Amino acid sequence: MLRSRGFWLALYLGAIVLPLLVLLAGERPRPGGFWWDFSLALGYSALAMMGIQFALTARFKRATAPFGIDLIYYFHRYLATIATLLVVAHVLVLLWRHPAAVGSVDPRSAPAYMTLGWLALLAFLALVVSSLWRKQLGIEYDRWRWLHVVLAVLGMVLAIAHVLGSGSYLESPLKRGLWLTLAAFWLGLTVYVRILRPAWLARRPWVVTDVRRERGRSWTLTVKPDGPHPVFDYHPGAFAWLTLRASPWAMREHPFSIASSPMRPGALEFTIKELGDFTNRIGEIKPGERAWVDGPYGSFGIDRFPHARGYIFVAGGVGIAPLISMLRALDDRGDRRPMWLFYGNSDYERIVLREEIDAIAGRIGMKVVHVLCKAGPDWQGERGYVDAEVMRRHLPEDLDGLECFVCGPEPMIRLAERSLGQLGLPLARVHSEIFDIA
Amino acid sequence: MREHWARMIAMLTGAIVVLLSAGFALLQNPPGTPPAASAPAAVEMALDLQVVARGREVFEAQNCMRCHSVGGEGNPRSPLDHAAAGLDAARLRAFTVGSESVADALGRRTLAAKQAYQQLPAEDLDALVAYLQSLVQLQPGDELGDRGKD
Repeated sequence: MLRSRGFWLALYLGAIVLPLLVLLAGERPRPGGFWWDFSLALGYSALAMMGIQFALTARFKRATAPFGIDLIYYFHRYLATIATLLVVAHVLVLLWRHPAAVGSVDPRSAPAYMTLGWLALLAFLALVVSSLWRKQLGIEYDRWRWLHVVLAVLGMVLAIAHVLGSGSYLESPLKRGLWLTLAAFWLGLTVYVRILRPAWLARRPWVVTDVRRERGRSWTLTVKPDGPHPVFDYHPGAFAWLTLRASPWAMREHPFSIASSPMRPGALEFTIKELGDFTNRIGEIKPGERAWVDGPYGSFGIDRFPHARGYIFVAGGVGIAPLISMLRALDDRGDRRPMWLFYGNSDYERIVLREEIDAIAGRIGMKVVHVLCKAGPDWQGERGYVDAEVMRRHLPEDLDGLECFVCGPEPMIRLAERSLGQLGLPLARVHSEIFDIA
Repeated sequence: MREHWARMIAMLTGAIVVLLSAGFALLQNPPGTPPAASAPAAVEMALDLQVVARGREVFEAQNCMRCHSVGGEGNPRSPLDHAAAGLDAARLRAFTVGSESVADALGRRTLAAKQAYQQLPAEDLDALVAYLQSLVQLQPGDELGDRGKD
Protein backbone atom coordinates (compact mmCIF):
# COMPACT_ATOMS: atom_id res chain seq x y z
CA MET A 1 0.00 0.00 0.00
CA LEU A 2 2.83 2.35 0.79
CA ARG A 3 4.03 4.10 -2.31
CA SER A 4 7.73 4.74 -2.28
CA ARG A 5 9.27 7.89 -0.89
CA GLY A 6 10.55 8.60 -4.40
CA PHE A 7 7.01 8.85 -5.75
CA TRP A 8 5.95 11.43 -3.17
CA LEU A 9 9.20 13.37 -3.48
CA ALA A 10 8.71 13.58 -7.25
CA LEU A 11 5.13 14.76 -6.75
CA TYR A 12 6.35 17.36 -4.27
CA LEU A 13 9.03 18.61 -6.65
CA GLY A 14 6.48 18.79 -9.47
CA ALA A 15 4.12 20.85 -7.34
CA ILE A 16 6.90 23.38 -6.77
CA VAL A 17 8.41 23.50 -10.26
CA LEU A 18 5.36 23.18 -12.55
CA PRO A 19 3.53 26.37 -11.51
CA LEU A 20 6.65 28.31 -12.51
CA LEU A 21 7.05 26.46 -15.81
CA VAL A 22 3.43 27.21 -16.65
CA LEU A 23 4.37 30.89 -16.69
CA LEU A 24 6.92 30.23 -19.43
CA ALA A 25 4.45 28.45 -21.68
CA GLY A 26 2.75 30.26 -24.55
CA GLU A 27 2.95 33.99 -24.93
CA ARG A 28 5.24 35.68 -22.45
CA PRO A 29 5.40 39.31 -21.43
CA ARG A 30 8.22 41.55 -22.61
CA PRO A 31 11.52 41.00 -20.81
CA GLY A 32 12.12 43.29 -17.88
CA GLY A 33 15.82 42.67 -17.39
CA PHE A 34 17.44 39.84 -15.44
CA TRP A 35 16.81 41.12 -11.91
CA TRP A 36 13.25 42.11 -12.64
CA ASP A 37 12.29 38.71 -14.02
CA PHE A 38 14.39 36.91 -11.38
CA SER A 39 12.62 38.71 -8.57
CA LEU A 40 9.18 38.03 -10.02
CA ALA A 41 9.99 34.35 -10.55
CA LEU A 42 11.12 34.18 -6.91
CA GLY A 43 7.79 35.63 -5.85
CA TYR A 44 5.81 33.10 -7.87
CA SER A 45 7.95 30.18 -6.66
CA ALA A 46 7.66 31.26 -3.05
CA LEU A 47 3.90 31.32 -3.43
CA ALA A 48 3.94 27.80 -4.90
CA MET A 49 6.04 26.70 -1.90
CA MET A 50 3.59 28.32 0.49
CA GLY A 51 0.82 26.36 -1.20
CA ILE A 52 2.70 23.11 -0.57
CA GLN A 53 2.54 23.84 3.17
CA PHE A 54 -1.23 23.36 3.08
CA ALA A 55 -0.73 19.90 1.59
CA LEU A 56 2.03 18.97 4.04
CA THR A 57 -0.19 19.70 7.03
CA ALA A 58 -3.40 18.23 5.63
CA ARG A 59 -2.64 14.88 7.32
CA PHE A 60 -2.79 12.73 4.20
CA LYS A 61 -2.04 9.31 5.60
CA ARG A 62 -0.72 7.77 2.42
CA ALA A 63 1.59 10.64 1.57
CA THR A 64 2.98 11.09 5.07
CA ALA A 65 3.31 7.43 6.06
CA PRO A 66 6.55 6.65 4.17
CA PHE A 67 8.29 9.50 6.01
CA GLY A 68 6.54 9.65 9.38
CA ILE A 69 4.18 12.52 10.05
CA ASP A 70 6.45 13.88 12.80
CA LEU A 71 9.09 14.44 10.14
CA ILE A 72 6.58 16.06 7.80
CA TYR A 73 5.87 18.72 10.43
CA TYR A 74 9.58 19.16 11.01
CA PHE A 75 10.02 19.59 7.25
CA HIS A 76 7.10 22.03 7.14
CA ARG A 77 8.90 24.34 9.61
CA TYR A 78 12.02 24.47 7.48
CA LEU A 79 10.34 24.72 4.11
CA ALA A 80 7.92 27.45 5.19
CA THR A 81 10.78 29.46 6.67
CA ILE A 82 12.74 29.15 3.43
CA ALA A 83 9.68 30.14 1.39
CA THR A 84 9.28 33.24 3.56
CA LEU A 85 12.94 34.13 3.01
CA LEU A 86 12.32 33.87 -0.75
CA VAL A 87 9.36 36.25 -0.41
CA VAL A 88 11.69 38.66 1.41
CA ALA A 89 14.28 38.21 -1.36
CA HIS A 90 11.59 38.95 -3.97
CA VAL A 91 10.90 42.28 -2.25
CA LEU A 92 14.54 43.16 -1.59
CA VAL A 93 15.67 42.58 -5.17
CA LEU A 94 12.92 44.89 -6.45
CA LEU A 95 13.69 47.55 -3.85
CA TRP A 96 17.34 47.35 -4.79
CA ARG A 97 17.04 47.41 -8.59
CA HIS A 98 13.66 49.00 -9.28
CA PRO A 99 12.60 51.15 -6.32
CA ALA A 100 10.50 53.44 -8.50
CA ALA A 101 8.46 50.50 -9.76
CA VAL A 102 7.80 49.42 -6.19
CA GLY A 103 6.77 52.95 -5.34
CA SER A 104 5.42 54.23 -2.08
CA VAL A 105 4.30 51.85 0.69
CA ASP A 106 1.60 54.32 1.67
CA PRO A 107 -1.71 52.58 0.92
CA ARG A 108 -3.31 55.93 0.05
CA SER A 109 -1.14 56.40 -3.02
CA ALA A 110 -0.25 52.78 -3.82
CA PRO A 111 -2.50 50.61 -5.98
CA ALA A 112 -4.49 48.00 -4.07
CA TYR A 113 -2.49 45.02 -5.34
CA MET A 114 0.72 46.50 -3.92
CA THR A 115 -0.85 47.13 -0.52
CA LEU A 116 -2.15 43.55 -0.55
CA GLY A 117 1.38 42.38 -1.36
CA TRP A 118 2.83 44.25 1.62
CA LEU A 119 0.13 42.84 3.90
CA ALA A 120 0.87 39.33 2.62
CA LEU A 121 4.55 39.86 3.46
CA LEU A 122 3.59 40.96 6.98
CA ALA A 123 1.30 37.95 7.41
CA PHE A 124 4.05 35.52 6.34
CA LEU A 125 6.63 37.16 8.60
CA ALA A 126 4.22 37.09 11.55
CA LEU A 127 3.53 33.43 10.77
CA VAL A 128 7.20 32.47 10.90
CA VAL A 129 8.03 34.57 13.96
CA SER A 130 5.03 33.35 15.96
CA SER A 131 5.90 29.73 15.13
CA LEU A 132 9.67 29.64 15.57
CA TRP A 133 9.55 31.68 18.78
CA ARG A 134 6.12 30.72 20.11
CA LYS A 135 7.33 29.78 23.58
CA GLN A 136 9.59 32.83 23.94
CA LEU A 137 6.69 35.05 22.91
CA GLY A 138 4.48 33.37 25.50
CA ILE A 139 1.81 32.36 22.99
CA GLU A 140 -0.30 29.53 24.36
CA TYR A 141 -0.46 26.45 22.10
CA ASP A 142 -4.21 26.52 21.43
CA ARG A 143 -4.14 30.25 20.67
CA TRP A 144 -1.18 29.74 18.39
CA ARG A 145 -3.07 27.05 16.42
CA TRP A 146 -5.80 29.58 15.60
CA LEU A 147 -3.34 32.33 14.87
CA HIS A 148 -1.39 29.99 12.60
CA VAL A 149 -4.37 28.92 10.49
CA VAL A 150 -5.76 32.46 10.25
CA LEU A 151 -2.39 34.00 9.27
CA ALA A 152 -1.65 31.19 6.80
CA VAL A 153 -4.98 31.54 4.99
CA LEU A 154 -4.78 35.34 5.14
CA GLY A 155 -1.21 35.43 3.81
CA MET A 156 -2.11 33.07 0.98
CA VAL A 157 -5.27 34.97 -0.05
CA LEU A 158 -3.47 38.34 0.08
CA ALA A 159 -0.52 37.00 -1.90
CA ILE A 160 -2.79 35.55 -4.58
CA ALA A 161 -4.70 38.83 -4.84
CA HIS A 162 -1.35 40.62 -5.17
CA VAL A 163 -0.26 38.28 -7.95
CA LEU A 164 -3.55 38.51 -9.83
CA GLY A 165 -3.58 42.29 -9.46
CA SER A 166 -0.04 42.85 -10.69
CA GLY A 167 -0.56 39.98 -13.08
CA SER A 168 2.78 40.38 -14.84
CA TYR A 169 2.96 36.82 -16.13
CA LEU A 170 -0.71 36.02 -15.81
CA GLU A 171 -2.05 38.05 -18.72
CA SER A 172 -3.51 35.08 -20.54
CA PRO A 173 -6.81 33.79 -19.12
CA LEU A 174 -5.48 30.23 -19.23
CA LYS A 175 -2.53 31.00 -16.96
CA ARG A 176 -4.71 33.02 -14.62
CA GLY A 177 -7.14 30.12 -14.53
CA LEU A 178 -4.39 27.60 -13.73
CA TRP A 179 -2.97 29.69 -10.90
CA LEU A 180 -6.42 30.42 -9.49
CA THR A 181 -7.27 26.73 -9.58
CA LEU A 182 -4.04 25.89 -7.82
CA ALA A 183 -4.68 28.50 -5.13
CA ALA A 184 -8.25 27.30 -4.67
CA PHE A 185 -6.95 23.76 -4.28
CA TRP A 186 -4.44 24.73 -1.56
CA LEU A 187 -7.04 26.72 0.33
CA GLY A 188 -9.55 23.92 -0.18
CA LEU A 189 -7.24 21.66 1.81
CA THR A 190 -7.79 23.95 4.79
CA VAL A 191 -11.52 23.57 4.35
CA TYR A 192 -11.03 19.80 4.32
CA VAL A 193 -8.84 19.68 7.44
CA ARG A 194 -10.69 22.31 9.47
CA ILE A 195 -14.32 21.79 8.44
CA LEU A 196 -15.00 18.55 6.55
CA ARG A 197 -12.77 16.21 8.52
CA PRO A 198 -14.05 17.48 11.91
CA ALA A 199 -17.61 17.01 10.59
CA TRP A 200 -16.75 13.39 9.83
CA LEU A 201 -15.26 13.01 13.33
CA ALA A 202 -18.28 14.63 14.96
CA ARG A 203 -20.41 11.71 13.80
CA ARG A 204 -18.05 9.31 15.61
CA PRO A 205 -17.96 10.35 19.26
CA TRP A 206 -15.81 8.66 21.89
CA VAL A 207 -16.10 8.56 25.66
CA VAL A 208 -13.43 8.56 28.37
CA THR A 209 -13.81 5.38 30.44
CA ASP A 210 -10.79 5.54 32.72
CA VAL A 211 -8.17 8.02 33.95
CA ARG A 212 -5.27 6.38 35.79
CA ARG A 213 -2.30 8.03 37.49
CA GLU A 214 1.10 6.67 36.44
CA ARG A 215 4.61 7.24 37.72
CA GLY A 216 6.57 10.30 36.59
CA ARG A 217 3.68 12.83 36.50
CA SER A 218 1.94 10.85 33.78
CA TRP A 219 -1.61 9.69 33.22
CA THR A 220 -3.16 6.88 31.24
CA LEU A 221 -6.43 7.78 29.60
CA THR A 222 -8.75 5.09 28.21
CA VAL A 223 -11.32 5.98 25.54
CA LYS A 224 -14.01 3.89 23.82
CA PRO A 225 -16.29 4.57 20.87
CA ASP A 226 -19.59 6.02 22.09
CA GLY A 227 -21.76 4.58 19.34
CA PRO A 228 -21.84 1.81 16.78
CA HIS A 229 -18.55 2.79 15.11
CA PRO A 230 -15.62 0.48 15.90
CA VAL A 231 -12.12 1.39 17.05
CA PHE A 232 -10.10 1.88 13.88
CA ASP A 233 -7.43 -0.66 12.98
CA TYR A 234 -3.97 0.55 13.90
CA HIS A 235 -0.46 -0.81 14.12
CA PRO A 236 1.55 -0.64 17.35
CA GLY A 237 3.45 2.66 17.37
CA ALA A 238 0.74 4.71 15.63
CA PHE A 239 -0.62 7.96 17.05
CA ALA A 240 -3.89 9.86 17.01
CA TRP A 241 -5.11 13.44 17.47
CA LEU A 242 -7.09 13.67 20.69
CA THR A 243 -9.62 16.38 21.54
CA LEU A 244 -10.98 16.72 25.08
CA ARG A 245 -13.45 19.27 26.44
CA ALA A 246 -13.82 20.94 23.04
CA SER A 247 -15.62 20.39 19.75
CA PRO A 248 -13.86 18.75 16.79
CA TRP A 249 -13.92 22.16 15.04
CA ALA A 250 -12.25 23.98 17.92
CA MET A 251 -8.69 23.17 16.75
CA ARG A 252 -7.87 21.92 20.23
CA GLU A 253 -6.63 18.49 19.17
CA HIS A 254 -3.24 17.25 20.37
CA PRO A 255 -1.20 14.37 18.95
CA PHE A 256 -0.51 11.42 21.26
CA SER A 257 0.93 7.98 20.71
CA ILE A 258 -1.49 5.14 21.17
CA ALA A 259 -0.20 3.07 24.09
CA SER A 260 -2.61 0.14 23.94
CA SER A 261 -2.13 -3.10 22.04
CA PRO A 262 -4.05 -3.43 18.77
CA MET A 263 -4.53 -7.09 19.71
CA ARG A 264 -7.04 -5.95 22.34
CA PRO A 265 -9.75 -4.15 20.36
CA GLY A 266 -12.60 -2.12 21.83
CA ALA A 267 -10.65 0.67 23.50
CA LEU A 268 -7.64 2.94 23.06
CA GLU A 269 -5.17 4.01 25.74
CA PHE A 270 -3.00 7.10 25.75
CA THR A 271 -0.20 7.57 28.28
CA ILE A 272 0.42 11.29 28.63
CA LYS A 273 2.93 13.23 30.68
CA GLU A 274 2.18 16.62 32.27
CA LEU A 275 4.29 18.85 30.05
CA GLY A 276 2.20 21.86 29.10
CA ASP A 277 -1.08 23.77 29.26
CA PHE A 278 -3.15 20.90 27.91
CA THR A 279 -1.36 17.91 29.41
CA ASN A 280 -1.22 19.45 32.90
CA ARG A 281 -5.00 19.14 33.09
CA ILE A 282 -5.30 15.52 31.93
CA GLY A 283 -5.68 14.42 35.57
CA GLU A 284 -8.84 16.54 35.87
CA ILE A 285 -10.60 14.56 33.15
CA LYS A 286 -13.41 12.37 34.54
CA PRO A 287 -14.70 9.07 33.17
CA GLY A 288 -17.81 9.70 31.10
CA GLU A 289 -16.47 12.82 29.41
CA ARG A 290 -16.69 13.23 25.65
CA ALA A 291 -13.57 12.67 23.53
CA TRP A 292 -12.80 12.96 19.80
CA VAL A 293 -10.14 10.78 18.23
CA ASP A 294 -8.67 11.34 14.75
CA GLY A 295 -6.40 8.51 13.79
CA PRO A 296 -4.46 6.42 13.28
CA TYR A 297 -1.43 8.25 11.88
CA GLY A 298 2.27 7.52 11.62
CA SER A 299 4.41 4.73 10.28
CA PHE A 300 6.68 4.24 13.29
CA GLY A 301 6.59 0.64 14.50
CA ILE A 302 7.61 -3.00 14.40
CA ASP A 303 4.95 -4.08 11.92
CA ARG A 304 6.82 -2.42 9.06
CA PHE A 305 9.65 -4.88 9.79
CA PRO A 306 7.92 -8.16 10.59
CA HIS A 307 10.89 -10.25 9.49
CA ALA A 308 13.49 -8.69 11.78
CA ARG A 309 15.65 -11.13 13.76
CA GLY A 310 14.98 -9.11 16.89
CA TYR A 311 14.27 -5.61 18.16
CA ILE A 312 16.14 -2.97 20.14
CA PHE A 313 13.97 -0.33 21.84
CA VAL A 314 15.28 2.97 23.17
CA ALA A 315 12.95 5.27 25.11
CA GLY A 316 13.35 8.46 27.08
CA GLY A 317 10.74 9.14 29.79
CA VAL A 318 7.21 9.22 28.38
CA GLY A 319 8.71 8.45 24.96
CA ILE A 320 7.85 4.94 26.09
CA ALA A 321 4.24 5.55 24.94
CA PRO A 322 4.53 4.27 21.35
CA LEU A 323 7.00 1.57 22.45
CA ILE A 324 4.70 0.19 25.16
CA SER A 325 2.12 -0.37 22.42
CA MET A 326 4.69 -2.50 20.58
CA LEU A 327 5.75 -4.35 23.73
CA ARG A 328 2.12 -5.13 24.62
CA ALA A 329 1.45 -6.35 21.08
CA LEU A 330 4.58 -8.54 21.12
CA ASP A 331 3.43 -9.92 24.49
CA ASP A 332 -0.08 -10.62 23.17
CA ARG A 333 1.37 -12.36 20.13
CA GLY A 334 3.73 -14.47 22.24
CA ASP A 335 6.70 -13.20 20.25
CA ARG A 336 9.99 -14.67 21.55
CA ARG A 337 12.55 -13.02 19.29
CA PRO A 338 15.58 -11.45 21.02
CA MET A 339 14.70 -8.00 22.36
CA TRP A 340 16.33 -5.22 24.38
CA LEU A 341 14.85 -2.11 25.94
CA PHE A 342 17.09 0.80 26.96
CA TYR A 343 14.96 3.10 29.04
CA GLY A 344 16.32 6.48 30.12
CA ASN A 345 14.75 8.27 33.08
CA SER A 346 15.80 10.70 35.78
CA ASP A 347 15.31 8.35 38.75
CA TYR A 348 13.87 4.92 39.57
CA GLU A 349 10.64 6.14 41.14
CA ARG A 350 9.69 8.12 38.02
CA ILE A 351 9.96 5.28 35.50
CA VAL A 352 6.63 5.37 33.68
CA LEU A 353 4.90 1.94 33.53
CA ARG A 354 7.90 0.33 35.28
CA GLU A 355 6.05 -2.62 36.83
CA GLU A 356 4.19 -3.55 33.63
CA ILE A 357 7.37 -3.32 31.54
CA ASP A 358 9.20 -5.63 33.93
CA ALA A 359 6.28 -8.10 33.81
CA ILE A 360 6.15 -8.09 30.01
CA ALA A 361 9.94 -8.44 29.84
CA GLY A 362 9.71 -11.53 32.05
CA ARG A 363 7.12 -13.13 29.75
CA ILE A 364 8.72 -12.39 26.37
CA GLY A 365 12.34 -12.71 27.49
CA MET A 366 13.25 -9.09 26.79
CA LYS A 367 16.27 -7.57 28.52
CA VAL A 368 15.39 -4.24 30.18
CA VAL A 369 18.22 -1.77 30.89
CA HIS A 370 17.17 1.19 33.01
CA VAL A 371 19.53 4.14 32.56
CA LEU A 372 19.11 6.83 35.19
CA CYS A 373 20.66 10.29 35.01
CA LYS A 374 19.83 11.38 38.58
CA ALA A 375 19.98 8.08 40.48
CA GLY A 376 20.75 7.98 44.21
CA PRO A 377 23.95 6.38 45.58
CA ASP A 378 22.29 2.98 46.11
CA TRP A 379 21.38 2.51 42.40
CA GLN A 380 23.25 -0.49 41.06
CA GLY A 381 22.27 -0.15 37.39
CA GLU A 382 23.37 2.07 34.49
CA ARG A 383 23.80 5.80 35.01
CA GLY A 384 23.93 8.77 32.66
CA TYR A 385 22.47 8.56 29.15
CA VAL A 386 21.78 5.77 26.68
CA ASP A 387 25.13 5.99 24.89
CA ALA A 388 27.47 3.59 23.09
CA GLU A 389 29.17 2.47 26.34
CA VAL A 390 25.87 1.46 27.94
CA MET A 391 24.68 -0.31 24.79
CA ARG A 392 27.97 -2.14 24.32
CA ARG A 393 27.66 -3.69 27.78
CA HIS A 394 24.26 -5.22 27.01
CA LEU A 395 24.01 -5.83 23.27
CA PRO A 396 25.59 -8.80 21.47
CA GLU A 397 28.53 -8.35 19.09
CA ASP A 398 26.46 -9.25 16.08
CA LEU A 399 23.61 -6.79 15.48
CA ASP A 400 22.84 -8.14 12.03
CA GLY A 401 19.11 -8.38 11.28
CA LEU A 402 18.02 -6.28 14.26
CA GLU A 403 15.73 -3.26 13.94
CA CYS A 404 15.87 -0.44 16.46
CA PHE A 405 13.06 1.91 17.53
CA VAL A 406 13.83 5.13 19.36
CA CYS A 407 11.33 7.56 20.84
CA GLY A 408 12.32 10.54 22.92
CA PRO A 409 13.57 14.10 22.65
CA GLU A 410 15.75 14.99 19.64
CA PRO A 411 19.16 14.91 21.42
CA MET A 412 18.39 11.43 22.69
CA ILE A 413 17.53 10.24 19.17
CA ARG A 414 20.78 11.66 17.81
CA LEU A 415 22.81 10.04 20.59
CA ALA A 416 21.12 6.67 20.03
CA GLU A 417 21.73 6.85 16.26
CA ARG A 418 25.38 7.72 16.76
CA SER A 419 25.91 5.07 19.43
CA LEU A 420 24.28 2.28 17.44
CA GLY A 421 26.31 3.36 14.42
CA GLN A 422 29.49 2.91 16.46
CA LEU A 423 28.32 -0.57 17.40
CA GLY A 424 27.78 -1.43 13.75
CA LEU A 425 24.03 -1.03 13.27
CA PRO A 426 23.43 0.89 10.01
CA LEU A 427 21.35 4.08 10.26
CA ALA A 428 18.71 2.59 7.98
CA ARG A 429 17.92 0.12 10.78
CA VAL A 430 17.35 2.83 13.39
CA HIS A 431 13.78 4.18 13.29
CA SER A 432 12.84 7.16 15.34
CA GLU A 433 9.91 9.29 16.30
CA ILE A 434 10.51 12.86 17.37
CA PHE A 435 8.76 13.25 20.67
CA ASP A 436 7.71 16.91 20.48
CA ILE A 437 6.33 17.64 17.04
CA ALA A 438 4.25 20.66 17.96
CA MET B 1 19.20 11.23 10.71
CA ARG B 2 15.72 11.68 9.30
CA GLU B 3 15.76 15.26 10.55
CA HIS B 4 19.02 15.76 8.71
CA TRP B 5 17.43 14.60 5.45
CA ALA B 6 14.38 16.76 6.01
CA ARG B 7 16.61 19.81 6.47
CA MET B 8 18.65 18.88 3.42
CA ILE B 9 15.59 18.48 1.19
CA ALA B 10 14.12 21.77 2.41
CA MET B 11 17.36 23.62 1.69
CA LEU B 12 17.76 21.81 -1.62
CA THR B 13 14.25 22.94 -2.55
CA GLY B 14 15.22 26.53 -1.76
CA ALA B 15 18.35 26.21 -3.92
CA ILE B 16 16.40 24.63 -6.79
CA VAL B 17 13.84 27.43 -6.67
CA VAL B 18 16.52 30.14 -6.72
CA LEU B 19 18.32 28.46 -9.64
CA LEU B 20 15.07 27.91 -11.47
CA SER B 21 14.13 31.55 -11.01
CA ALA B 22 17.53 32.60 -12.32
CA GLY B 23 17.03 30.27 -15.31
CA PHE B 24 13.61 31.76 -15.83
CA ALA B 25 15.07 35.26 -15.83
CA LEU B 26 17.80 34.24 -18.30
CA LEU B 27 15.24 32.67 -20.60
CA GLN B 28 13.26 35.90 -20.50
CA ASN B 29 16.41 37.95 -21.04
CA PRO B 30 18.77 35.87 -23.20
CA PRO B 31 22.28 37.28 -22.90
CA GLY B 32 23.70 38.77 -26.06
CA THR B 33 20.37 39.45 -27.69
CA PRO B 34 20.21 42.95 -29.07
CA PRO B 35 17.81 45.05 -27.03
CA ALA B 36 14.43 45.28 -28.61
CA ALA B 37 14.09 49.01 -29.02
CA SER B 38 14.78 50.29 -32.48
CA ALA B 39 16.72 53.45 -32.93
CA PRO B 40 14.31 56.30 -33.11
CA ALA B 41 14.06 58.45 -36.16
CA ALA B 42 14.93 62.00 -35.49
CA VAL B 43 11.79 63.71 -34.37
CA GLU B 44 11.64 67.40 -34.72
CA MET B 45 9.28 69.00 -32.32
CA ALA B 46 9.03 72.30 -30.67
CA LEU B 47 8.67 71.59 -26.98
CA ASP B 48 8.11 74.05 -24.24
CA LEU B 49 10.53 73.06 -21.47
CA GLN B 50 8.19 74.36 -18.79
CA VAL B 51 5.40 72.16 -20.08
CA VAL B 52 7.81 69.21 -20.25
CA ALA B 53 8.83 69.78 -16.63
CA ARG B 54 5.16 69.90 -15.63
CA GLY B 55 4.66 66.64 -17.57
CA ARG B 56 7.43 64.98 -15.57
CA GLU B 57 5.72 66.11 -12.36
CA VAL B 58 2.46 64.53 -13.52
CA PHE B 59 4.38 61.41 -14.53
CA GLU B 60 5.78 61.07 -11.01
CA ALA B 61 2.62 62.09 -9.19
CA GLN B 62 0.58 59.48 -11.06
CA ASN B 63 3.11 56.74 -10.17
CA CYS B 64 3.61 55.89 -13.83
CA MET B 65 6.86 54.17 -12.88
CA ARG B 66 5.06 51.27 -11.24
CA CYS B 67 4.39 50.03 -14.77
CA HIS B 68 6.83 52.02 -16.93
CA SER B 69 10.46 52.98 -16.86
CA VAL B 70 12.34 55.98 -18.14
CA GLY B 71 16.10 55.92 -18.34
CA GLY B 72 16.15 52.62 -16.44
CA GLU B 73 14.16 54.00 -13.53
CA GLY B 74 10.86 52.26 -12.80
CA ASN B 75 9.25 49.07 -14.04
CA PRO B 76 11.57 47.83 -16.79
CA ARG B 77 8.90 45.79 -18.53
CA SER B 78 7.41 48.71 -20.41
CA PRO B 79 10.07 51.36 -21.05
CA LEU B 80 8.87 54.66 -22.46
CA ASP B 81 12.23 56.04 -23.55
CA HIS B 82 11.36 55.86 -27.22
CA ALA B 83 7.62 55.77 -27.03
CA ALA B 84 7.39 58.97 -29.01
CA ALA B 85 9.62 57.67 -31.80
CA GLY B 86 6.81 55.86 -33.53
CA LEU B 87 3.78 57.59 -32.09
CA ASP B 88 2.41 61.03 -32.67
CA ALA B 89 0.86 63.12 -29.90
CA ALA B 90 -2.69 61.91 -30.55
CA ARG B 91 -1.62 58.28 -30.45
CA LEU B 92 0.44 58.84 -27.27
CA ARG B 93 -2.61 60.37 -25.65
CA ALA B 94 -4.77 57.45 -26.80
CA PHE B 95 -2.35 55.01 -25.14
CA THR B 96 -2.17 57.09 -21.98
CA VAL B 97 -5.92 57.15 -21.36
CA GLY B 98 -6.78 53.75 -22.83
CA SER B 99 -8.91 54.88 -25.76
CA GLU B 100 -10.80 52.20 -27.68
CA SER B 101 -8.54 52.86 -30.69
CA VAL B 102 -5.63 51.16 -28.90
CA ALA B 103 -7.70 48.32 -27.38
CA ASP B 104 -6.01 45.69 -29.56
CA ALA B 105 -2.53 46.85 -28.66
CA LEU B 106 -3.06 46.99 -24.91
CA GLY B 107 -5.29 44.11 -23.91
CA ARG B 108 -8.40 44.24 -21.79
CA ARG B 109 -6.89 44.51 -18.30
CA THR B 110 -4.34 47.16 -19.16
CA LEU B 111 -6.93 49.15 -21.08
CA ALA B 112 -9.24 49.17 -18.06
CA ALA B 113 -6.41 50.31 -15.79
CA LYS B 114 -5.48 53.13 -18.16
CA GLN B 115 -8.97 54.48 -18.51
CA ALA B 116 -8.68 55.81 -14.97
CA TYR B 117 -6.40 58.51 -16.40
CA GLN B 118 -9.24 59.96 -18.43
CA GLN B 119 -10.02 61.80 -15.20
CA LEU B 120 -6.81 63.83 -15.45
CA PRO B 121 -7.18 67.56 -16.19
CA ALA B 122 -6.66 68.26 -19.89
CA GLU B 123 -3.58 70.42 -19.33
CA ASP B 124 -1.94 67.70 -17.19
CA LEU B 125 -2.54 65.23 -20.01
CA ASP B 126 -1.08 67.65 -22.54
CA ALA B 127 1.97 68.11 -20.32
CA LEU B 128 2.35 64.36 -19.88
CA VAL B 129 2.27 63.80 -23.63
CA ALA B 130 4.78 66.60 -24.13
CA TYR B 131 7.05 64.96 -21.57
CA LEU B 132 6.83 61.62 -23.37
CA GLN B 133 7.64 63.34 -26.66
CA SER B 134 10.61 65.01 -25.04
CA LEU B 135 12.18 61.69 -24.08
CA VAL B 136 13.27 60.94 -27.61
CA GLN B 137 14.86 64.32 -28.07
CA LEU B 138 16.41 64.64 -24.66
CA GLN B 139 18.30 61.36 -24.85
CA PRO B 140 19.84 61.32 -28.30
CA GLY B 141 22.88 59.33 -27.18
CA ASP B 142 20.82 56.66 -25.48
CA GLU B 143 19.48 55.07 -28.61
CA LEU B 144 19.53 51.55 -27.33
CA GLY B 145 17.28 52.36 -24.46
CA ASP B 146 17.13 50.07 -21.49
CA ARG B 147 15.35 47.05 -22.75
CA GLY B 148 17.30 43.87 -22.48
CA LYS B 149 19.51 45.31 -19.82
CA ASP B 150 18.02 46.24 -16.56
